[in-house]
Amino acid sequence: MRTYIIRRILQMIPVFLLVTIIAFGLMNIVPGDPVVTMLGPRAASQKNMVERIRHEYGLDQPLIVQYVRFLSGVLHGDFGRSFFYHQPVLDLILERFPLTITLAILAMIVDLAIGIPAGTISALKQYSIWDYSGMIVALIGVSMPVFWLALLLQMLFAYQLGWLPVSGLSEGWRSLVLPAVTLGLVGSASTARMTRSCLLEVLRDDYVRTARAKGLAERLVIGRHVFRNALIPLVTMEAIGFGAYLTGVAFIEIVFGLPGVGKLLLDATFNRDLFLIQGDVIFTAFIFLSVNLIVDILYGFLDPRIRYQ
Amino acid sequence: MRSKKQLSILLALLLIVALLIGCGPAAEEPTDEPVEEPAQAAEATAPPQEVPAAEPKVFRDGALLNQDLSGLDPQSEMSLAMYGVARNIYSTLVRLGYEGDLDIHPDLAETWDISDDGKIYTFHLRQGVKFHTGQEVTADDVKFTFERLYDPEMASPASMFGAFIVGVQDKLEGNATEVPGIKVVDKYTVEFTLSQPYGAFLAELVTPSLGILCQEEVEKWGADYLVHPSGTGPFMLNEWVRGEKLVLEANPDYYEGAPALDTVEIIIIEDEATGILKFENGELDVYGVPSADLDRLMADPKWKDQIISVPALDTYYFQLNNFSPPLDDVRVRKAIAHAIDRQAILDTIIKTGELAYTVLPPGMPCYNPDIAHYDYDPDTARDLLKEAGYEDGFTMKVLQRSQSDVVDAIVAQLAEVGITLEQEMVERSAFWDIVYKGQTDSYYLSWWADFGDPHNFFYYIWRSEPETEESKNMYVNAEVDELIDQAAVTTDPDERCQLYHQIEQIGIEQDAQRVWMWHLETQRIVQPWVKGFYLPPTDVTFYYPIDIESH
Repeated sequence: MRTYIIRRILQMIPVFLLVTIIAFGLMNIVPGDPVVTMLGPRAASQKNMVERIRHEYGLDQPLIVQYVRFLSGVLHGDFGRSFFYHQPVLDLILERFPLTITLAILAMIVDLAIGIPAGTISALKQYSIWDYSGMIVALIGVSMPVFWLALLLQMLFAYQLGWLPVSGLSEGWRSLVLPAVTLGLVGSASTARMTRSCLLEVLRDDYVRTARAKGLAERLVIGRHVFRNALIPLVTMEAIGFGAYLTGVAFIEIVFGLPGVGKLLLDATFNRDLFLIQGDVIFTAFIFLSVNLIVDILYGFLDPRIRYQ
Repeated sequence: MRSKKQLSILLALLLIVALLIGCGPAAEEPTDEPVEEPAQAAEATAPPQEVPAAEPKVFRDGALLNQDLSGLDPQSEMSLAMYGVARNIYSTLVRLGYEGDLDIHPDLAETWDISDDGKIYTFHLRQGVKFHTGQEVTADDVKFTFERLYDPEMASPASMFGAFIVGVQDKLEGNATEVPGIKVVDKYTVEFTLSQPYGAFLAELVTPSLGILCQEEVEKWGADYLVHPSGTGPFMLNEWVRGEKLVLEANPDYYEGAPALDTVEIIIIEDEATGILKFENGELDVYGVPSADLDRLMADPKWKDQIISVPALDTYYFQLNNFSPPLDDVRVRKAIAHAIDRQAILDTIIKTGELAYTVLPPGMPCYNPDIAHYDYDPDTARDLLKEAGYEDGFTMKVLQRSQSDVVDAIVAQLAEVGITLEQEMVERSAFWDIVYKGQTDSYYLSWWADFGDPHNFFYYIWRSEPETEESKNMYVNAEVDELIDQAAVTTDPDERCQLYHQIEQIGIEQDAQRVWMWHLETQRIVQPWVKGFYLPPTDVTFYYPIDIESH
């Protein structure tokens, strides 16, 4: 088990490096000079200033030199300063991360709380009215644009009923209810469908029939055998989904006025805020890699076959 | 078997708990450290006994910011958003009226003298005015503010103001470390010497980017000054929740008397649909009017009287690249001007505003609508194209930053006379890059006044040197440049207006260098319990006169 974990961690490193190269490379291909954007159109005509700033940020060096500087900075936890906010990039990201992670966890709870029971009922009562209606609702959920659902919920619960604020962070936990529910609802649709198909597949397996033939109570058949084996593909999907929540869902943050990590990256892109973009991409990659690492380790516990590969 | 399963569940739970502990939720408190509140003087005594403890008056502005500011250093960013905040936190030497008039009022400068030759401006500062952090304002702070503005290391977009002060260009280019044209005469007196008698100098000084900074505070905080501003305005920074809102509190020592409001919350709202919903729900006191909602709100008896519409000092135009054939032929340019049915677009898409015939908006000094009109006349357009040899039309490009119904309409209208307008969509940064290099044929843009003088329009969007975005590589006429320069330094107002009119005649009637589209209004929707809210034509609101009635 230990070798398995170490191997997985080591595998992260080349992937991480590749991501840093891509993040760095992309920003240099895209049109739009970061310095010109930072100064704003009116002042960009003063060429001396532009040259001075480029020099200060090391943007006039050859790309290799810039990349090495960038990478060594990353390893020291120094992602440079944001052009737009004038603050260290890491500080900006970490300031917003607690909100994003809280929202992610809440959304995940809503997602799983609705999705798994719904998918389970659908699978256990296949071809019944529960199954069909559940899957139709799930299909609608998967096809629905997130921001449309957000607006609908805002109109109903905030404007018509007045139970919750429309947006912003001013009302503590109540401000997070609508965003978490919006995200969770949409996510629960895919969770439900996935849960259903995973369970159905496992239910057909021979060992389930054996367990039932043995006289094991149905409850134990489902709970002890079926679920645990169906969990694996489900966990993969949820991990990716959670990773996506963690990196901030920009739509939700914009519509609900939440200063999270997603909006930070979106704004940074429009502002050509070079170091912030690079820092955020690295951060995102790190989150995804970590979440996947944890999931892989969990697999090792859930399915002994995997850790011997 | 059993223990392994329990172990995996325990591990999963531990991970979740660790995550929750390690990164606690920040929903309850602001994620930024609150700015230290400056020492406040003892409040005025003797309140009337009958009045019970009043609810704090909080004004929530959702209209100003649709994305966060980079910082509260007025010299770091030039945008209407920055102006809106800087106007209330800082004071300039002179300012415009609270109620939206374009007259020059004293602000930090109580009085001023102008020499006979129009080159020396001497400002006498109010005495005993304190910054929010307690230091007294002196002439040294004024000199420091302007020296900092022209420091090439600052790279301030606002350094384009005050260009006529002696020595500014040298400092900006790195050839000097000081601006000799700014002199501290004594503790409360500052003297500005101009190289030419620039008539719009006072008008420029109202720009919020020129707010006077506290030398001690700026030097103390260095790069962090952005989040520790200290000004002399009626409001000061209380708290800044980055990405969410800016909270200002009243400055009780403001030299014109403490404001009626206790707190101003400037809330960042990116999505219009959310914003108007918040407003109608009572969570905001003022918001803009999204064009999609205008009709509905005007028809709603609850809201129709709460909409304020003011003609703003702006001009929207369809820029043409005078160097790119066939646009280099004036007949083609005139044809384009005649081919666009501006009134139709105004009536059906924008629904407010009035047609523009020239670069200046009404309300601006020297505004003169007595100029040749390029009315909608597709027949004349076709004739002109035929004359120029383009009877079968031609293809040209238009550059856009985002989808625009206006541009779509222009595409359709030009197609009627045989001109194919190819739409090229790029995002913001790339847009300015391409425009700056003159690599497109046309674009649709606007200019909003920074201050109330025609120089602000002619110099920045019409003159071809120095190369500002709007005019670079798109149109050059030496005579026009000369006239613009001459008008800048003419002191007699009638003479100035005559010169500007001459420029208009050359640029518009003779050269038809671009198509002037319209002047739009600026709008807000305000809650009925808000009093004293004025919307000036510059679109920069003072919070000082605002009051909230109990509701």
